[in-house]
Amino acid sequence: MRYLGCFSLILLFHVAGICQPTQKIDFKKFSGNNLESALRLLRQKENIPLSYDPLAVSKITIPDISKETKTVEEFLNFTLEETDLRLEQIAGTYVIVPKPQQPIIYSFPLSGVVRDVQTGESLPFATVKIANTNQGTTANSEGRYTLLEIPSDTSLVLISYLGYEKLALIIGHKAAKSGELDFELRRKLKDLPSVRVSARGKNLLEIDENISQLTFNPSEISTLPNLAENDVFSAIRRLPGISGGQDAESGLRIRGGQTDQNLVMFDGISVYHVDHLFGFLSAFNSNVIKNIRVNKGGFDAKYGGRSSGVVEITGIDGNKIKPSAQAEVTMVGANVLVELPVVQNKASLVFGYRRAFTDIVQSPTYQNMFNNIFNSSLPNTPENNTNVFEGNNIPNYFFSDLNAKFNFQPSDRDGISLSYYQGQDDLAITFNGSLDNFTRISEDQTDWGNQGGSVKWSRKWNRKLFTYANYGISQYSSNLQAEETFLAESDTFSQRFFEQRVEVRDNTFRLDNIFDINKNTSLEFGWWYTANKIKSQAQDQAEILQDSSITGISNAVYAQWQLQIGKLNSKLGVRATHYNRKEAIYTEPRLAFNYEINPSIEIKASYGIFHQMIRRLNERSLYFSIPETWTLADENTISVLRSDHYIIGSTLKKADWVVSLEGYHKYERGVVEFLFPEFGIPTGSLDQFAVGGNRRVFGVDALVKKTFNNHAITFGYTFIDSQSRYDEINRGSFFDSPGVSNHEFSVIYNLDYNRWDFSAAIVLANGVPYTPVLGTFVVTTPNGEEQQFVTIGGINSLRLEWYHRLDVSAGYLLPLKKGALQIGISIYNVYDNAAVQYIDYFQIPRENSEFFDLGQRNILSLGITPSVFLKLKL
Amino acid sequence: MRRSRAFFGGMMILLGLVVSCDSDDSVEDLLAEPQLMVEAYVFANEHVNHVKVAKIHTEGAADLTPVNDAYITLSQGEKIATLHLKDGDEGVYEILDPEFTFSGTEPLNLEILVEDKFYSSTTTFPSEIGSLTLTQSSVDISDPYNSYPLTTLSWKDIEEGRTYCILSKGVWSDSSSTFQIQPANDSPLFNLHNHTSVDLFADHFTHIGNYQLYVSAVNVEYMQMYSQNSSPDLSGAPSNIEGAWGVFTAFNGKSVHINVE
Repeated sequence: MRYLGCFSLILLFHVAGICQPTQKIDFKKFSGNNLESALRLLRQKENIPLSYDPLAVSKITIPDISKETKTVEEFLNFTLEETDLRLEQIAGTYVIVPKPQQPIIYSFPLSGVVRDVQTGESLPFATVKIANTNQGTTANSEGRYTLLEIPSDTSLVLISYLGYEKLALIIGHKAAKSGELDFELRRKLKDLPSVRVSARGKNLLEIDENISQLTFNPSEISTLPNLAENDVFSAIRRLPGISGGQDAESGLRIRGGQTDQNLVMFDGISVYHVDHLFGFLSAFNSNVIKNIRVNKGGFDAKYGGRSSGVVEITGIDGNKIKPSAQAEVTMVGANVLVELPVVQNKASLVFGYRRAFTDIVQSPTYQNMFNNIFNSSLPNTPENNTNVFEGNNIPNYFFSDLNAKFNFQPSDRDGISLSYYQGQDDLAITFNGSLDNFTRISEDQTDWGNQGGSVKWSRKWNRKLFTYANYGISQYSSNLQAEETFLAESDTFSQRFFEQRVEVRDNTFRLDNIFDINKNTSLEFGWWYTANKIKSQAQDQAEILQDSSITGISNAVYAQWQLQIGKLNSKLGVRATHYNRKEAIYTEPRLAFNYEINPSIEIKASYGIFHQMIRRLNERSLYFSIPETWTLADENTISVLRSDHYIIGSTLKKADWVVSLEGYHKYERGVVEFLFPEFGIPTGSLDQFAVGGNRRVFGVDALVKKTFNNHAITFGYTFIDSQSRYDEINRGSFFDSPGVSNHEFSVIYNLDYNRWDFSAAIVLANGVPYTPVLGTFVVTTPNGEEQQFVTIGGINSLRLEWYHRLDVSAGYLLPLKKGALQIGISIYNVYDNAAVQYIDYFQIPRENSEFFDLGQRNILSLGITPSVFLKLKL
Repeated sequence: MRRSRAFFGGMMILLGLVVSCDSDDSVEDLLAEPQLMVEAYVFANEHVNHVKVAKIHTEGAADLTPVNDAYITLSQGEKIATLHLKDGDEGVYEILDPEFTFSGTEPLNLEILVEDKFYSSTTTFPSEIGSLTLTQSSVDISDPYNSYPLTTLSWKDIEEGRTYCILSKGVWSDSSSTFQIQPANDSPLFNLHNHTSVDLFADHFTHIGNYQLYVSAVNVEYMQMYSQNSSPDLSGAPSNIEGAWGVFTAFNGKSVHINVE
């Protein structure tokens, strides 16, 4: 802010589309008029992409224009000929900038922070580039950037951040001399009070320069169709490479990987249980999120401990300028957020709390979702459409989460923040069953969730060295208490009690450093320490069934050298991790290359090895009363998972088009899979799992995004061929990996009309593989002993039917005198397509026999589910 | 621009090639057909009287539907026999001539024709074991809590590392002198053995009366079928019948008499 006043020019970009120099416009009619009014007319009526300083151009009178002037370029060049301004075309936009002056200062460094102009919030990973050069950088997680060796003080700098108006400015002498310059960007939102922003189509995501990495715009999530709440992970699942076919999925399946293979961090806290409501909603309150970075593979040496992807969520720091608050009511709960500046521009406090009121009021939306899970969870029954809310035993369920953050900047060089997160689900449910004179009452009480905190300190030692230190503690816990009572004509004759507790603790210390050696070279290095402790306890009324505790410590050091040679940007990194349970060092090379063919097209490639020591054993954690089970790799359990990533891709960014295409191959060793979900509930016992297999994955992610006028459309396509192999299964041959769709198409369309938002989203995916059951039979030995067999077809040899769904939403933003009111309605699965999500086979015991018959039922997807939300921002 | 178009064109062709690869759907045919179960046991130099053919219930029930119109042949080299439905035993076939038996090392072939569908399997007789002895040929099992072995069954074998089964023989055909009892679940008569000596306790016997204990090495198909525990095997039922489920195996053992009181 300090140097903002001295900028020679600030330009707000209003990117409108591809330059159309051949458009037929009668320029002669502008003769003698003021240039500012002519430009406004061209932008609004003719849709010409223009950017200019209104004050500078308002002083210019347009000279006589001849009939021969046919293009915008000719018109503006002629008009500006005798002025101090000139025309440039940048990123498909006509930009009017001052004519170059004689530079005074050459080759100087510049650093600072990129911020939100209204709240003072730092903007992590913002892009800062010097126009007409290859030089540029990405701000770090604190919004800090450094540019070394800027050519001159007349250089034009372009700053962009997803969801914000782009900023272009000439540095000027004063900033060049001090070497310090903070950039302030304006949010591209309609909800700015009394400001009418001409929306240019929604920008939900941005393809980053790093391969397989994209940044998600959390502020746009509310414009997408949703299920009960505006949800981060539901929105991310619409992206190519990330599984989106299922209604409820615990976590994200990235490029065929399992949900536990992603490192999910919220403000430096590793989160182990990432969902609420059995997977229908993520555990993260979208209102407290500032930035989401998703890395689908081949990630930097800085990240480790997981083998598939990284989801880095940065929470808001809080408004440092003025207090603000918002409240939201949805079909399942309510949500409040308060932001307080503690010290103006220095310290802020954020408090966000969300709680479902499903234990008090059961909306139709919630009932639909709960019934879907209820029917999936009932074992050994042919029922798949029970309405649990019609009976006397209405389940008592709710979830809540709390986010608190204190952010403090003691100096221009230091930043400190304290974060706390707690998410919890709580369920009490009763199952009743009667047979003849006997009654069975089963009462389950379960609570599970994640809580954690982090302390973060960042320091900019000088222009070249930046340090980020984070200590985070996290604990996932699950508690189950179950009581089973058998009654004979109202007299209790048997009672059974069962209790189970699972706990996963994580203590992680990170020390990340970035050292900018010169304008083309930087070095990242650091140390990550992670200590995990997993406790499992179980007991019934008579004895302790399980009481185990295992601890694992990973110590990792890494270094990554980034080098820009002409148009080639390369990253050469290595990460080495010592894991105490195996007393071994795991070395992981990481390579990434990025080559700019021309300003619009880049090709990218990367290779890396990734190891994972901690694993979750139940892949489907959607059943009631089944806690998640985690384990650490060692000689007695499972081996360390190793995944090799090979990725190649290209990105085209031209005007309003973004096309991204990536092909990849992953090879995993030490895979653990639950191969027969058709046959029952995973209890977390290792015996139920196939252990120590290999998996090979080939895939393609394609994304085409186009914004035009007030429309935006995104097409996504995912192809995954994932095959698993185990020595003892399927005669050692590869077979289709469980839970993976081969083909998935998605379309997201958004129309921005005045204060209205309309969205539609389509998902089309082929079914996941399953193992067909061909029958059951009993064989008798010559000795007369009988043995029963279930005959099954090839493992995962069939696929479920294609799944498709259309979701729509509409939102309206009502500006208030102070603040805004946002109203939204969504309809999930508009045409009520009840697709088979999976097939469940169950045993039907035979009377007076040790044998059983087999039953089959189809677990159906969630039907049409409307929901409404109301959000008040002050 | 032309270069970039060519590049993306190439990527799309690559994408098309990858997408066009898809898995076959041959298992769907398997699902559509009723599944056949075959249970065929052939003892060297003995009457062939247990080849059972049945259809597996398509609705998931464990009941089998006997197949009474199968055309079945057993052959070994030049020797061929046609099997016929046993009187009063639905779905079970036998060679009518009790003197027609098989033995020797040549492969034994089973061929079954049911409703124009052909099923086949091949097995061989395992080589015979050496001498078979019992330490006590008469035992009294009236005290089921007796913790000492009543007798020890042992045999010799020149081949090492084989697996054996112990069967009670001569009990089904002579129910007047024997009657069935419920042995313990871990009875060695229900298990396979890798050793050549087995102690028999009071609760191990399957029958009371005079009958034989028959010991034979077993083939791999028998091991696969019966070495599992009793829970449903989710990796699929083992089978050595082409196109059907079940087992076709041969025994070549020796027997000793025992009197169980």
